[in-house]
Amino acid sequence: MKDQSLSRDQGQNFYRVLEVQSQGNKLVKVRSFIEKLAADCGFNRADVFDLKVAVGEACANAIEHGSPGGKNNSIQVVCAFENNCLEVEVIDEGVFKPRFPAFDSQLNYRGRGIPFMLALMDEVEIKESEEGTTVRLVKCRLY
Amino acid sequence: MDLKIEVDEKDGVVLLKLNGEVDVYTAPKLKSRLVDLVDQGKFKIIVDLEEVDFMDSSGLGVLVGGLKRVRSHDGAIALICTQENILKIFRITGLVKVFPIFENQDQAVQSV
Repeated sequence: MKDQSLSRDQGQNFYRVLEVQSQGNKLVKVRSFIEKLAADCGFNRADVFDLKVAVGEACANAIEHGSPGGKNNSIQVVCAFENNCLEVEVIDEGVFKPRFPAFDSQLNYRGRGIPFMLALMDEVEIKESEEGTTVRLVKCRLY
Repeated sequence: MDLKIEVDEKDGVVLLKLNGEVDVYTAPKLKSRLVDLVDQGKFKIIVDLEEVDFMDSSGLGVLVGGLKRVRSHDGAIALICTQENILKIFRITGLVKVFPIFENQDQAVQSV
């Protein structure tokens, strides 16, 4: 599947979708997409960076665990901006594996990304279905 | 964007200067370099993050793995970083208490 993006503008609010192959080297494309989108929404540089990290982590999870068919699977990044809040849904085709701790007292690295999402976003929601997993991230602009 | 790694050594201390983005795709390159250094008996390492544009949990995981490796040989890893975005990543994971982080190379060299 070729990478593609769609958009639909509705005044100040808008809706964008990016679909990429489930491959690690696509994360750069996702981050660039989010960076431009967040900047267009008026987020400052610190918040743009937070969004890049959180969405990147969700996509990395999707590539690692949500793609039983490997690069034959795809990941959708669906973004909607409304009422000064950017909602990003990362949708994959697999089963989510929650791994919450990042580092334990022995410095064993066990988590991947969920602490980042929780720390950097205003809302984090993980929805599972038979078709796949959706990680919903929301960041609001308070200025 | 790729990850470039420059390696320099002075007085038994290795300086790894990173340039680019450290994510799940590029972190294995950093891991490989750290593993090679430890295999070569280099246990005092400074990682310069000043030119790093992005780092995620994969990058942190590799740095923690490197720290565990050098510590098993009584070594140390110090970081150079003044970028607030990157420092935030270390703060929210509590790793500011694990890695000594300095503003410049001279301070970092003294610490290891």
